Amino acid sequence: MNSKAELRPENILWEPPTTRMRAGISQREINPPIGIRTASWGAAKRHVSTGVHHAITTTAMAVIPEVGEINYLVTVDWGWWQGKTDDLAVRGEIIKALGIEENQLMLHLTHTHAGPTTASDVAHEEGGEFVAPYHAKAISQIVEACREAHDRSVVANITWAYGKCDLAVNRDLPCGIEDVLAYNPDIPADDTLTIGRVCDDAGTILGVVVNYACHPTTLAWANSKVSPDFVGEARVLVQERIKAPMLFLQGASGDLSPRDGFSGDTELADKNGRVLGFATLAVLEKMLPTATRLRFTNTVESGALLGEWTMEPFTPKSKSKTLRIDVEVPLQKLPTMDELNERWKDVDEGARETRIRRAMKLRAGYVVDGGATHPVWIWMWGDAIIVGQPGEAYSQFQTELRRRNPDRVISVLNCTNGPGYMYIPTPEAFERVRYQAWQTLLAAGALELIIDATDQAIKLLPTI
Amino acid sequence: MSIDVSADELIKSAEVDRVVPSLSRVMCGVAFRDITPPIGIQSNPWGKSESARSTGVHHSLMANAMVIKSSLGGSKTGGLELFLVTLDLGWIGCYECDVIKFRTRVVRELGIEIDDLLVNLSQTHKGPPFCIHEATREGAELVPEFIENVITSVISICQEARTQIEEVDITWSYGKCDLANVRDLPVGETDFVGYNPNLMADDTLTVARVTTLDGKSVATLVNYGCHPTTLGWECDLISPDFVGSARNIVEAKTGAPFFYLQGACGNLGPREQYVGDPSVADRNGEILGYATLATLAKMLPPASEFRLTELVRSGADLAKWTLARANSSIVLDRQRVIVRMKHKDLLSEEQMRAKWHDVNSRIVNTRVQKQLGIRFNYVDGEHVNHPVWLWQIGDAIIIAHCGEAYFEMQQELRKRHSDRVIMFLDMTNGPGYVYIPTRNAYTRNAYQSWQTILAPGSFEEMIEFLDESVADFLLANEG
Repeated sequence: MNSKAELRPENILWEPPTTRMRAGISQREINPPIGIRTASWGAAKRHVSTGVHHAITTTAMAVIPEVGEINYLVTVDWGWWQGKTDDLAVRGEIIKALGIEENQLMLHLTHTHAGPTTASDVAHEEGGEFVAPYHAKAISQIVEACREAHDRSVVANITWAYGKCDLAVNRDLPCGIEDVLAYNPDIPADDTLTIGRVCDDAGTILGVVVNYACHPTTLAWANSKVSPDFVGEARVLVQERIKAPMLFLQGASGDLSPRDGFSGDTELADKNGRVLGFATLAVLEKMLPTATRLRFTNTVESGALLGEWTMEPFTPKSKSKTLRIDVEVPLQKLPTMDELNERWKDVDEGARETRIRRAMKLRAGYVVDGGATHPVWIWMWGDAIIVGQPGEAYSQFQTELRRRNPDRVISVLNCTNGPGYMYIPTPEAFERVRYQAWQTLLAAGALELIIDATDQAIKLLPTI
Repeated sequence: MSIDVSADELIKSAEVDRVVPSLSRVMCGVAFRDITPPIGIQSNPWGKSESARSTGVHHSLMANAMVIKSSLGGSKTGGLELFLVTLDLGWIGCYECDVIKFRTRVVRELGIEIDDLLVNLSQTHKGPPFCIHEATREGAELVPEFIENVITSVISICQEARTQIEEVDITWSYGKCDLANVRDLPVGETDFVGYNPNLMADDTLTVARVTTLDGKSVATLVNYGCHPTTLGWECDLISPDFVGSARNIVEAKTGAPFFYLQGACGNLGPREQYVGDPSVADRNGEILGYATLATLAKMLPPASEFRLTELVRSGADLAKWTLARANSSIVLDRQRVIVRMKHKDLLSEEQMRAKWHDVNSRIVNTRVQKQLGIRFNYVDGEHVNHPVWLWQIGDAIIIAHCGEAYFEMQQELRKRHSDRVIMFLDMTNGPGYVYIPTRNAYTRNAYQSWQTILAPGSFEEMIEFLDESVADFLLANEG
């Protein structure tokens, strides 16, 4: 019989999910000129900016696998694409300038609703004259950030962890037969916060990847300053502490938003940002030092029988793979222009025009011969997986993928690449009169198909 | 499509149109004092430590006091004056040192009843003993004066808190913190006390923000269950463990004292623990500190609630929640209840001495003293009388007792009383200086199950009893 000192638990190693890859991160401010067109809100009286709340930035991460091409994960403090032409006018130029293939880039928008317009067809509207020159400048800054990230790349260890953040709430509030966009205190929200800390071999933090699902809708029609919304203050807090860039990735937030929002008060956006920023810092503090794991080393008799775990270095996995899947998705019966005019005949003219214009731009390049496929990019980096797609998926997309794949740390990104810039709601959303269900071109069942296809693709990735 | 419905009609048909946080309006004053003992004092309680003598200070040990009285609005229990004291100390462990020499003296000096005072010990494992009977090792000669200093400090800060009293708003909220992990680790046929990566810990963090009527911070109460066992036998420093850096982070932001109230932590500890390096305790404290700040950041302004006020037709139909003045609850009441639970077969003094006949006599004397000290005024025939204090402060409830309950107790009571915020305090007042493990812990022969004198099933009985007691207490106050 073993003495107590020789006894060991079943598993004597605890290893945090970690990736070892060549990586670099770079950040640039890309503030637009005051007076630029904004136009995120139908209810706004003015559609041009009057100042800057927090800096609009782009953050690029270059990842160079042992085998294969360089990949760029790039985030921009912009809102969303209205259509494929707008997307390609920016993404296409970046791909061209970097000399890469389309699938080597995930261009992600943080989904701020207080950003400059991403539309490329607004030169004739108030503030529209600033848009083309601004986009050209932003593209060159994004490209520069990508190149700098590449140039700075070193062999790095990325430690991944799930944490928790209470910023997001459910935002589908039943009012009679309609669900309006507003805080619903009766439905719990997904609170998962996914963090990747990128360190060099000396332990210096090179950057932090933060993936969290919450509509940046603190600032709304009464605000006229450009702002990354809550992401701005969160980034200030985190970067001040780690002295390196924070790369924010908007999660599957179709049904999630801050409790406090639809405001003109930038301090409220900062308050929301503190919730996310402090939660991020708490997760970072819990991480072990870079490339460190725990080994059960000792049984100690000290009043009680204590089990002692000790830190030790290890070499994280560097296996990687990138792939793209295109999921065939069902479409709703698409209304004609006349039907859209009839549908919104009682709505204020400005709001009606906004709704119709958005509906028509969504279809171009996505609906082909009456059908559509939805693109999903899946990048495996060691123990971690980044899933990016252009839609605004409901949070079930991320909760389900994480539930089905508990051995991987999965970052799930809305608003990434394109086309497919539309809501991907749960089937229940289609049973109610709900904005997300009439904004989207997709029919009930699309979310499940995308979840299943993505899950199957993840299951076929190399084991770790 | 329902846009034929007017905005007014739509908003009136909302399933929910009001959200009211847990709020209190009371009179409150706070005071605090640095109670760091002299270097050299016994402060390493670990059995494995080579010397118990401290060689330095990591962070200061603090004593905080808060006095709470009914608001100017009055209540049916008008004359109550309650004191909540937190100490960065380990444990007391005997009736004589706790009730007789300490709390009885404090309440006499303050002119209050014994049930008007809650003293919560953070349970740091890097402080001097607060029980004179445990002053048995290197540096013990400094302990009596230290204990006297703590007692006079508590009296003094309680008196000072009285002079600071003013009307305050308290907002209570649950948040989340990942510092704690389950520390029952299956090894062979028993459970060791060590990090178990396979079980989910309770991550509930309960925070109360106390502010003056013009919004100035008065105090932050933080209730969280986690053994302060980051620093082990190899650390010779005096330290509040993770509470130290958590306090620094929160106080730097709020400018007001941070009251740490140890929660149900019988089976919870930090993942990184038993170390000699104080920077690990700081990192653990930063997890708690930042989680607290995140929770504070999410709170609505004091005495506020949310009302659904306006439908806006933008790109989508949106509804706005607007802040409105809330009527904070002014209820203030307290009650002590006694949980009757069965104890295990207890050894007599002779039996204990026979059992430990081959152990050093000094250690045997300490063990015997401790075992008998636990039983005094607690064991009653086949049962124990385990006191629990219930305080209602506005919409919130404090449940406090002296044991070290498994975390499932606070989880279950919060689940059963989900309409209000509950702070659950271990390590508060006495007697009842025992672990309160789940029935399952006994089957695993976990340390906590053989340290305690309670019989299996006590934990489950205590939950049922407290559930009913809380319901009755609330009902009486509503009446």
